[in-house]
Amino acid sequence: MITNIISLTLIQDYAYFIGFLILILEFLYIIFSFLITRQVKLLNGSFNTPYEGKLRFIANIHFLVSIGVFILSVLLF
Amino acid sequence: MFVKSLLENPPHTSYEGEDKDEVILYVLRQSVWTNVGWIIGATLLVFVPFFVLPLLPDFITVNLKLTMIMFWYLVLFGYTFQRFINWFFNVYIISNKKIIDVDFHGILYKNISEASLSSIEDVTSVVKGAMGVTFNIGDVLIQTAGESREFDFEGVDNPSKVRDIISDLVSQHKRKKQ
Repeated sequence: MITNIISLTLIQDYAYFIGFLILILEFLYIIFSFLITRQVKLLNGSFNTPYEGKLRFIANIHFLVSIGVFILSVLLF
Repeated sequence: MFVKSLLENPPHTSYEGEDKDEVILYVLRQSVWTNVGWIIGATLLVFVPFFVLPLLPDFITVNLKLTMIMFWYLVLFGYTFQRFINWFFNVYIISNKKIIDVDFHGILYKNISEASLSSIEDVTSVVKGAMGVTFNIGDVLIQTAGESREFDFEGVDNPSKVRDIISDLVSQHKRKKQ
């Protein structure tokens, strides 16, 4: 019984550790997606095309979705 | 067109530092074919969760699996978008006064170099490799005067045509100046 409890706790620890690792990665990804929005803005300044609005929209949506995924993951965790 | 690699007289296009009397005549990008590798890679990665999820151990809960799937597709989208803007903004601009090479790699490196048409001395086109010969993709090397700088338009469609365009513009520009 004690062995079962120990192995159950270990398994829960593993799951907890993996979940925590994913949360850290998702947080780092938010920084990355923010950098992409800045990059798209900068590049549109350097080279302006008719597609500026579309690209900025996609970059911003990507940033917002990455925040959304992080929040959802915290709630699921 | 959004994915064309050679645009002639592109509308509503400008670049940082453009002169008032300057007109952009051509915008070149690397051939669309140069993107095939990462597009195939990204397409294959879409299916990875279908194969990996059943192999995960039992202690990975449904919520954790859901989190992993969301994050996987988010990263995949980010990768695809990053590769696309990498291609889209790496441009070679030919105006009535200059040639401009806009280079950027990853998210932290940007380099813009330019040379006036009058300083161009030699234009060479090179087609090499199986992909180059099959799809007529190659490099255009532009040697400028005075310094050892060389512009390299890499992986453009129909490099002979590009070489011809630049050569004609340079001789036209030099004739005007005389």
